[in-house]
Amino acid sequence: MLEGWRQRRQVARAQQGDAAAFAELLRPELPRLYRAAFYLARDADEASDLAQEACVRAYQNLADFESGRALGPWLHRILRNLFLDRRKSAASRHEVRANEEDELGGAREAAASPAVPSSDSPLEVLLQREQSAALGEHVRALPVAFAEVLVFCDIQEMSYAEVSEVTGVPLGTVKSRLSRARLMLRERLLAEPELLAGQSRKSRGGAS
Amino acid sequence: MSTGGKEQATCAMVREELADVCDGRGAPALRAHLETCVACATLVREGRALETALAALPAVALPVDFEEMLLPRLAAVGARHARRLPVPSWTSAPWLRASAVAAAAAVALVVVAVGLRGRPTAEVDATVAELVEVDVDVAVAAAMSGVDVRLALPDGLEVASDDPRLNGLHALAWRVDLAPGVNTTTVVLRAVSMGEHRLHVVLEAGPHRAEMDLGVLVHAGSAHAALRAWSRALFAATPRLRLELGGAT
Repeated sequence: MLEGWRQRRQVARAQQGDAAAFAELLRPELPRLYRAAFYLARDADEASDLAQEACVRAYQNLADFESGRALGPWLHRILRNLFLDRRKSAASRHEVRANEEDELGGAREAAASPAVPSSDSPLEVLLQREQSAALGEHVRALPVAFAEVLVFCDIQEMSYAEVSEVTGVPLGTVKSRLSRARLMLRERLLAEPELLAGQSRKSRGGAS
Repeated sequence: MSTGGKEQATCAMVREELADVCDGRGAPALRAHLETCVACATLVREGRALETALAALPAVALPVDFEEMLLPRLAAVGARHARRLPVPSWTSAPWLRASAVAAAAAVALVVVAVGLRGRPTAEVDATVAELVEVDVDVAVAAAMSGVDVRLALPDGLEVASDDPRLNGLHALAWRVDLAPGVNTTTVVLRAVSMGEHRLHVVLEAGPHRAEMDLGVLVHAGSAHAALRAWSRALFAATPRLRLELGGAT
């Protein structure tokens, strides 16, 4: 509750034009916000630009912020909408399209393959060994509707309810998209095992 | 054949509801299916391994110049916010009256001013509240125009108002025309920290000037309860603060 008091006071000061008060409110949120931007955007420059612009827009629209609520999800929402706007104007190839169903069809066929022994699968072994940056690349390469649920749910570890608030997508859809996103990511990794294997060889080489 | 078809349908459901199944939540039938279907069990373990690996992705450091670049941009927005506000000072007083003070304790600050000269004396009974109405009463014998009243608030106090432009302000200033007798302006303040706070009031009329430094709002006892009880006065006792500006001798 004390935090609530402080937040209200900071918000009021920021609305009166005290930019330092707003910066103070933002500061604890920045690392997480930037992390989300980093895994959504193509590179660090785009991530920095996105996160900066999200902060500026948040301040411009501070009147929309419901004082007393958590600032983090609100900032993520602004970041996410900004990211989508930019993506849309740049290209539409990441949008959810009907042919994504085909991709999933492929995934379903793969599941019908013969049962494997219950010891760790090659993919599990790779994932345990590597917290690979390549994984982030694969997330970015997914259609954005699926990439974003992986970023918010799995990378940022937000609750389904928070992700629903951030994306404006119903909770059930968040879960079904997350299911599909994990399947798609899995398929990508299985289709390119040499990438992960190559990474692991490289890191082993580096360690020796 | 039909069994195989049913199995396939269940496998498909595991995929559809992978997020829930990975969380250990899905339907009991799906969880039971995992006991017998090695492919689905593997899929779910891989799903969890993915979840773990994604959560463990390296933290990315904020670029070193991030805040340095951001602050001037925020300052530009702040300047626009500030320009949109009407200047709250040196206006007539009605906006000072905030409405959200249903249960606020009242502090009457009685200023008996004769020509606005003399030494103030203050007597504080007590008050503990989150929202406090302060009545600034200025009593004069004859009409005076253009009396400036400034109220400086310490860190622990701020203006409480429904008007977001005023809410949270740390100083108030307004100009009043005084009629003969008592002139009252009500200011609603919010205590944001514990302790004794000092209100600093300045009255100025032409060459005349009077300043008062008043200790008010002595929080005591269950201080944290005070902060939990939004807009609710803690102590029922009606506090009274009396200030006399003696003088025309």
